[in-house]
Amino acid sequence: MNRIIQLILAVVIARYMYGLTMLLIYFPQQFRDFAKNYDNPGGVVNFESTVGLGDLKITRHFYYDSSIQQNFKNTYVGFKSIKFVNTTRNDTPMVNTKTGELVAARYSQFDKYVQVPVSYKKYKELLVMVMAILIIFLLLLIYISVVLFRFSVQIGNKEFFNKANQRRLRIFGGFLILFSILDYTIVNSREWILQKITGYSGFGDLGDFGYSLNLFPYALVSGLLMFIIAEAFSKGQQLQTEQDYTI
Amino acid sequence: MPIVVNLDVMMARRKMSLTELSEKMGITLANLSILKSGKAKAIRFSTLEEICRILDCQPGDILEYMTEEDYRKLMRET
Repeated sequence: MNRIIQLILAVVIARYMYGLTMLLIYFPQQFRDFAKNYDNPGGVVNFESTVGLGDLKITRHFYYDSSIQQNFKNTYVGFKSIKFVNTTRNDTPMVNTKTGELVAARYSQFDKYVQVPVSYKKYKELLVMVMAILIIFLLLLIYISVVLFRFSVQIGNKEFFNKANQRRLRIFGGFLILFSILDYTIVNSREWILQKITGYSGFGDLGDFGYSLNLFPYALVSGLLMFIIAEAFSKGQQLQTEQDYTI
Repeated sequence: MPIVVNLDVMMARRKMSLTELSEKMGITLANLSILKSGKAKAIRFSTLEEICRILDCQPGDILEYMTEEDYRKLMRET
């Protein structure tokens, strides 16, 4: 049974680590392609590729989709003047923002996306940020996988109730809570960060850029559960000690 | 815990060593040492019964209750 648990654990961890490692390779590759195809500054960013790994879905696109066009309408004064139906993929109409900026937008009729330009320099800043987040996650995953593997080995050896296992459960719980808080923070500050970096104000939504783990609130609840289990292990250890010292 | 195990006293009265008692009881010397040194958390009725049978005594001869103060005093002395 323990072998099966270890195998499942190894597959799950390997899957995530593989995904993250691939992304760490994939991102710079995309960046190089972008640099090759677009001059600095300007150009329309059109990264819509998605690397899906179950819950771990990392997307890079920079557009408005049809569901948020209402928001777009409120934000961009020039929206109505653009005849989207008649535009083609290659059109790059200029859009006046409320803040007085003149932004080149491109409408993709097929995808129903409005694309806005992002400079090479700005994109580089975003890339560095996304890469940094990915590296942090990768390191945390490596550490967590080591902790969980050791825990499963102990369980396999029928050594349940000891201080080391309690510590491992608390570490795991702590990291789950940390993941969830990190996830929540990134998701909620992403738009603000993107607006700050791109310099475009008045955006209601910038779509996903580089990060989406959807851990909150599941990880938070799981993390708290780990602390409860650790407490149960603590009680178990106490009972084990009493049992050992019962003659 | 202010419950004192007077196993050593009874063993001395019966002139029996710890090894001999452990052999007669069929428990390990290590476990009997835990009991004798007062480190044990609990004692099974079956163990108590065996001790009483072999040492020909009552449970009260083996176990003694003390007040916390007396117990601490005893611990300091020993």
